[in-house]
Amino acid sequence: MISLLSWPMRALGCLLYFIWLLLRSNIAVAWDIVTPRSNMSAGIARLPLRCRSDLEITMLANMISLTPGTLTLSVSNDPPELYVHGMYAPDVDEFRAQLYELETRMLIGMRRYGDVGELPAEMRGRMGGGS
Amino acid sequence: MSFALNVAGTFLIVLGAVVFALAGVGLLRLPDLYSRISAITTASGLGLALILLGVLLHEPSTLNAAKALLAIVVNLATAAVGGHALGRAGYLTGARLSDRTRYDHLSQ
Repeated sequence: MISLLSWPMRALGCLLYFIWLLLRSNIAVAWDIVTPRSNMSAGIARLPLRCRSDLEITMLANMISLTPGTLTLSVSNDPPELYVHGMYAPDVDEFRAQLYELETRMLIGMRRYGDVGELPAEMRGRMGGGS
Repeated sequence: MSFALNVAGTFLIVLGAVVFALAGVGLLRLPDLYSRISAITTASGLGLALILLGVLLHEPSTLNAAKALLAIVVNLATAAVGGHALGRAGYLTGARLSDRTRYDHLSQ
């Protein structure tokens, strides 16, 4: 059951997930830098968000910028959306799914009752039914 | 015990320096402004965090732990905002995207 009591645990889980993501993507980018052939395949994707408050949008934009290989280029809060540059994003929907995974974990950790909400309508059909 | 802490601390400091070195190589090797910013932003965050943790293991105390934690958090936050500002300024002034870029929703 998701309740107020589990909030600190959820926040800690989000923090640990972010550290894991930071290490994993650092290794991926470092590997690409030291090996002669680059498998970079970049893109700039529009990402409609489930974040609502300014704090949530700021946190997500910063977490995306901090993860190597992804960089927030533009932020809007009405409607809430980000434009994200990805270095390893050959497929736009796969790239978005990774970013939504981070957003889901962040919102579970940040919101008092861990309610994430539904994906924006235009994305719902494209993300393999994930909520 | 303090010998083990010293070894672990030195290991973290060397690891942090390696992260910085890799970011420097990345700055030269990556193809465009955006990927270079991506590499540098995190490397400064992670590299500095590793070095600060290493120093903390050499001089462990509650006060030093608080200082190191504050420095890591503030550095991560400012690195992220700085990276975003650089990327945005680059895009607005028309920095070239690498030809490995497949799509650009900002241009639509």
